[in-house]
Amino acid sequence: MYLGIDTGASATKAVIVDRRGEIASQAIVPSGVNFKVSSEMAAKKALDAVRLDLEDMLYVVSTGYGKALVNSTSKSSEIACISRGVYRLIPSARTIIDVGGQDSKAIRISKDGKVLNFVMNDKCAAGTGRFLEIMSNTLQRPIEELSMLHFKAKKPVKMSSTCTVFAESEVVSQMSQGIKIEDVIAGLHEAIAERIYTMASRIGFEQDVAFTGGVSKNKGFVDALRKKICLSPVLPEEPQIVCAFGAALLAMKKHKEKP
Amino acid sequence: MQIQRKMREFSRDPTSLLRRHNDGEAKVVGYMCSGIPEEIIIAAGLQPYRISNIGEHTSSLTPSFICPFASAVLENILRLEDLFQGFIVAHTCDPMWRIFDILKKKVNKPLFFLRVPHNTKNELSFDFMRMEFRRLKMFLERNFVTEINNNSLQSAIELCNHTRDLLRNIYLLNRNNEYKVKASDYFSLVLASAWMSKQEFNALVEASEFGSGKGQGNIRLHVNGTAIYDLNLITVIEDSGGFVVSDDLCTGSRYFWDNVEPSQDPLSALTSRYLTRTPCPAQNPLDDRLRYLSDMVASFNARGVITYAEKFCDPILYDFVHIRNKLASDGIPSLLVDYESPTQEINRIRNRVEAFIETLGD
Repeated sequence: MYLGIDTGASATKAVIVDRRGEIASQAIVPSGVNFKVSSEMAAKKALDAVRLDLEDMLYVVSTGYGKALVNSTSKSSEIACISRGVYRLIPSARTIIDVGGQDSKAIRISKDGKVLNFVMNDKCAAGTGRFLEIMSNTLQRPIEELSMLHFKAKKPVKMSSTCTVFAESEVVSQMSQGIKIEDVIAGLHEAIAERIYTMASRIGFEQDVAFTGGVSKNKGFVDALRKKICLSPVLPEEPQIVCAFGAALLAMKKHKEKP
Repeated sequence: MQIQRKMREFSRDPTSLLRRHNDGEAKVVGYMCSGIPEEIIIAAGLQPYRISNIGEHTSSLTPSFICPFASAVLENILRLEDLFQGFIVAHTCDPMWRIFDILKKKVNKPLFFLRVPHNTKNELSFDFMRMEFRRLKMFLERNFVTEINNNSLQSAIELCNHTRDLLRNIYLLNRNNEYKVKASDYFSLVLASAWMSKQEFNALVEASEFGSGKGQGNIRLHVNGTAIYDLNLITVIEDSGGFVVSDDLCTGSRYFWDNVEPSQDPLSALTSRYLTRTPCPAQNPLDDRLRYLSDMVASFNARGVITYAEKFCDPILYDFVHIRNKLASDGIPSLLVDYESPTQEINRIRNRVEAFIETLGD
């Protein structure tokens, strides 16, 4: 068995794969402020599900922001892990849009899964999960509800700024004018989709386009991004664990390559 | 290894060198840009000192859209004003012009604004720049009661050319697929050369040996950008499996790559050198810069280019689009990393640099 751990800015994910690279178990826990603790918690949860110990893992690969703090055999970048995970789950994918808690990424991969090019967001929370988390707090609606409300929108508002700070005050201003919450939420999803579309356009889109990362679980955002890029995306069953899954597959590869 | 350690200490605390100049009663003139002709300052019997952004990040005197570099430099000037006898500001970009305006109101030392032609190939560029250098010469003569003649200019040119030769020779050790000099050591050496007296620096380098760097097998990279004083931006590349073999930074090859050619008219020779030197992001035409970048990448066998862009640095951000396209047509991958304060955001930067290097290694 092989373990992949992805310590993201918002959530830490662990995936265990068997010798054939099939997912044996998976776990998602909040990252909090201590990546070491969250990675141990995620690993334990995934290991408990298959009644194994860390010592039973033949190879462990860590990735994500906290990878240096994780007890692993080796470390790898999220770009490599996401690409590997997507290539296994959606072999037809040539473009990957990954939106996580703190980073958003667009990756172009070849037909044999090799990374051809990638681009990541600049130093700004706009276009990431953090943007939606802050807006969910401002709107006092749990993040899970944003998706449902999105599809009730009749007239999404146009956000004049995708800066998290300015957008927050804009949302407050719109709500005070009596604009319906669903129209504000749809406007926020469109704003984040616009931001990601602009970033990803730098490397271009080629079908199939896969969406991954925790934010892809928000159907409202996926709808807004789909409309923006005018392409139908392919989503894995659980988009949030793709990076950890890729890390586990990489662990399997590295173990097999070991002299 | 001793000199590398010493240079790294200087690059962490350049003010110690500034104080040493003052203890030695040298008259120090501060400047910020590699386009300022140090030779004229040295010919006036003064000590040039490149003012960095080290230790500062923002300024209450500048608006938020001014790049953090300009704001930090301004704060360092105000904080260390007593250690300088004067300042020279070059009009490279608009923030520098605004910094000069603020300095006019805030400092009580002789202050000179050097206008530099933004189009270096214009038919008037040479005459304009020579006139500006002549104005700088007169400014120094008037304010420091000294005479700058052809002999003193020739001596200063020879001294600075020797520094450039030494730096270039060390730099060239990494050519031909060699891994001789670590960039973090190398850049601290370049920085020290802009802070120390040239005589002392040259003697120190001549007495030292270079070429025992490690990094064999790491991914060879070129670094593009403006002025990098925080060497965390370089060590993060080295820690991620990269080996910086070439650059076009104001604190790197742009500072020393081209010598001043011997001439009966030293002011004209200086003008030629500074006008045709390794192109700067604040100047045009861009084609020269793109050609230089391609040539450096090819001759040092770099497999990729990392562009470091200070937040709100318009010249480098505008250039990047053309640089990326040019490199793509050459088959060279590139990465843009923006930053404000490298030390505070090193994990975000590492995340991108590691991914880029890993991609190149596949």
